[in-house]
Amino acid sequence: MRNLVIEPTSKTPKVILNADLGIFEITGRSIPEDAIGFYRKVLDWIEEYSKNPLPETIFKFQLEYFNTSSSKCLLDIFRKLERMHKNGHKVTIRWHYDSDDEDMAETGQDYQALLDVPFELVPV
Amino acid sequence: MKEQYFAEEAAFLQEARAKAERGGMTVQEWRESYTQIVENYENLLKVVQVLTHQADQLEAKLEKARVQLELQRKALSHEVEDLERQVEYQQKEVHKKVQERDTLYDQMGRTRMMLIVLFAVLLVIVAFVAYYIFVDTDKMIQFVKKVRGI
Repeated sequence: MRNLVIEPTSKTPKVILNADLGIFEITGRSIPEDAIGFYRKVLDWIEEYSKNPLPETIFKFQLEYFNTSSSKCLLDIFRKLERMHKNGHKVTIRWHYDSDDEDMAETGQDYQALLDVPFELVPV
Repeated sequence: MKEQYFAEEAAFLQEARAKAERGGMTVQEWRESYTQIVENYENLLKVVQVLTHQADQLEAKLEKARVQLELQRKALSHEVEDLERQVEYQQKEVHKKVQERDTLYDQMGRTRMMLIVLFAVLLVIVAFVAYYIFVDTDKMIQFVKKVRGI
């Protein structure tokens, strides 16, 4: 399947979804006005990928700031990964956050509590 | 656009409503549907709680940033006032210096004019004396004799 790479802007994060190399990353800040428009491609890609995933999928998130609508889109991504996990695939979500950023750590904990998928909190 | 963020939830709600309107389900089917609705409602409640918490965090961050900006604005405003006062003082000083310079130039001009006049007078005297010494020597001799009373 075709890889998805979206370069970052001042309002949107960098997205690397590379099934060939097994790199799945969303990094940077996410404050687009039309978050659903931005994340639609990501959600569609994961939906397609989930039909025939790699033996192990480690999805890295490292966001410094994001708005509420991006948060809902992230939850939608997590739900898709959770579904993959429930379907018997090996999936791990790694939530990287600045060790000084308590809010981002707390956000990761909120997601962790909400999901039924391996969810690791990684301070950097 | 806001409906799109909960498209899946909205679709489920619509389906549940349609199912209820259609009716004709067995007790078991009602129970399953009801359980599914409760599960989805529970999930949605959790999502709303998370989003509300995050929105509060963002608001707190924005408020903190707003307070910092306000403090910086006030500090900058004080600095601008200080700078304006300094500029005003410097302008007065420059004006004073310019006036002093103009006065000095006036004095120098007057002195220069006096020196030119003095030089011209001296030149006339020297020319006058030279004329009588080298050109009209007889008159000069007579003049000297007259002065000495010879």
